[in-house]
Amino acid sequence: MPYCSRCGVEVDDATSDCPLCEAPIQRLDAPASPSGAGPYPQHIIDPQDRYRLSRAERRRIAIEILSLVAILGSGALLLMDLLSSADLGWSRYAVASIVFGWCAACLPIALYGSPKAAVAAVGAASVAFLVALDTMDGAIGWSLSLGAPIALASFAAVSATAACIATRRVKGINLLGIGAIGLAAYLVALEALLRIGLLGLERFGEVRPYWSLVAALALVPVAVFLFYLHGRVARGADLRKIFRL
Amino acid sequence: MKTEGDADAPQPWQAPIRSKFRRKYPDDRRYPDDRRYPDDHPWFALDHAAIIYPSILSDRVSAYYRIQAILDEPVDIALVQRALDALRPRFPYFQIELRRGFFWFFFERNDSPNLVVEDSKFPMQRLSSGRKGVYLYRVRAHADRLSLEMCHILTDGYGAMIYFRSLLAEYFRLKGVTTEYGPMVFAPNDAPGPEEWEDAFSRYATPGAPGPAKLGPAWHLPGIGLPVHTMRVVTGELSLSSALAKAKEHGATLTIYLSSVFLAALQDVQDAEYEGRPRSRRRPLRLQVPANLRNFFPSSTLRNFSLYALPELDTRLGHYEFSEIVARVKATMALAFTPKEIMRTITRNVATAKHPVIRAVPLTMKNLIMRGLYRSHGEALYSSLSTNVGQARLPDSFASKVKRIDVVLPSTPGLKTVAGMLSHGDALSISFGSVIERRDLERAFFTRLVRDGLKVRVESNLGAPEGKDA
Repeated sequence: MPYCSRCGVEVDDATSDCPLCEAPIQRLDAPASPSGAGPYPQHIIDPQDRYRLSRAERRRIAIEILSLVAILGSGALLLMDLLSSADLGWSRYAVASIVFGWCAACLPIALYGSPKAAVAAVGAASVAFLVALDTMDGAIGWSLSLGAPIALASFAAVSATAACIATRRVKGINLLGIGAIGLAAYLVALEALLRIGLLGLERFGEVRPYWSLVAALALVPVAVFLFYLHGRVARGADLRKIFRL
Repeated sequence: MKTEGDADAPQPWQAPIRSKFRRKYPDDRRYPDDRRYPDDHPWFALDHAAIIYPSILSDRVSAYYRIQAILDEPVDIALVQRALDALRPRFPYFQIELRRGFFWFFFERNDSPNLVVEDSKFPMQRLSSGRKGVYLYRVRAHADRLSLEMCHILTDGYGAMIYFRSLLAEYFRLKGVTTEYGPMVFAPNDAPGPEEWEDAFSRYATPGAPGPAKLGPAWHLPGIGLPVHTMRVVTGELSLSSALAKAKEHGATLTIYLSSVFLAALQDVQDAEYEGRPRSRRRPLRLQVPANLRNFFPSSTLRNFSLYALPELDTRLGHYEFSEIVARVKATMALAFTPKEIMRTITRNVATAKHPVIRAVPLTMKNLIMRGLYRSHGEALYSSLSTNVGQARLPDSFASKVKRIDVVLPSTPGLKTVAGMLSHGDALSISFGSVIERRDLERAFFTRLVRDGLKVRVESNLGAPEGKDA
């Protein structure tokens, strides 16, 4: 019977490598049975397979259910509105909200595995939703000056923060610090967008930013403290090494 | 005791199933009427050893262990299915599914079909026990190998061995080999005794008994995990008589000898891991060695009734020679396996589960607590696990038709590599179940046996490290 010269254990004729040290088994004659015919089957069977749906099937079913709920809910609302007032009034807003909810729920499921594409799609759907709401009264107003920029800024801030968090090798209290920095940047951008939207671009320079800077100045020290806590206390970083001149 | 001729005769205890427990399955998915058995226990509670398992089950912790027999000819799956169906009435406490209550999990009778399943490269993967109709054990077959995968929620190795022997006996009876039934092999047509359902832990808990001594965390094997739903099984086969002779040389029983070799192998791995680093940084090596409590407390229960000893090497004190390890294991097991010492752990476990405050905690919160306790007071306390189930004790009528029997234990991300031992005839089988890529513990163990003069033949379910093979 063949054996491993390193471990001293015998192995089956069909075994090509030692099960313990992975060294090739030296043999003087050809193996009696084909290589790979081990004691266990080489195929993988999960007895649960017959009960279990694949992830893709689950996603497809979830989208189907969400779509059915959205269609039935929208239809009911439109009919109620038509029956009560013989016209489509309030139901348009409700249906637009349902459609947006459907997009926000289904797009991440449909684009599972592509988080950037999912965030971009939901962002685009949000802007489209706001514009649609705005146009329902016959004219485009606040959606382009306020709604869409704020929505895009929100998505940009969340995406940038998430991307920054993803790059951290060690995740701990430092993530809260990154979140605080992201929030500070978002608030500054929000105030700027509000000013542009409300006062117009030509009067933007007349009023200095105020509350967002106060909030940012409060958040940045908190973030610095959290970074310090993470690096110095939680990870035991050597300040002499980090700040070596 | 029924004889073979009574197999098809209607039995007085075959009462009809009460309609309220009938599921709305089509009739072809249910067992026919002649497979019905009395409905004395439409539901019942988990025993005190099983309580922890449902909370910790996950894709990486299956709690299924496996007993597999290698027969002298290919397994006839149709006959195994008939044997499996025939045994249902005799082991009603296994024909159940796990259900969630508000405060505790419980077992409920399961009448769904239990089919023989084809074997897999990676055994003992968990079934979704939360689903309706899912059994907590399954019978698998591949070529000449017949396997029983039993979840520890149901029973321990003793109960599983009785079931497996009875399954083999029924299988061979259908092939024309008559077996004399007895306490180790149950006749399919006998009625199950009420004592077989017993939670023996409750009976032997002694209110007021002090708990076991508190232990610190033990050292655990390092290593990168294998992909989820995979595990490596390495089985070594050696001569039982040679191993017994070697154990005798060391003045030990086979269990003590093999446990000592296991601890010595752990020490080898730890030495290599801590080479060049101060000994004071090491954590002690501790091995869990389970024992059948029926040997200490009279009980005929077919549910869990086992506890363990924890022989230890505090390697901060220095390197242990093998003779020292044998002496320590021998002494620890002699002290641990006495009724009074065992009573400490039994009482603690039962008293904890019966505490009014704990009983009133909803199951969702209990699950969280138990997962935490399992990590801090379970696996953290021992480095690995090695169980010697002992002799398979197959009846003479078909013992020669079984070449070898293995017991394979499932490992967990905490313990990483564990071992189970079982002997049949002169074949002693030692199987390691591992969920890490490194194989140094298995290698250290078997090469120690080889250096001790024993001839070992090794096989594995992985021909090459995972990822290299197809």
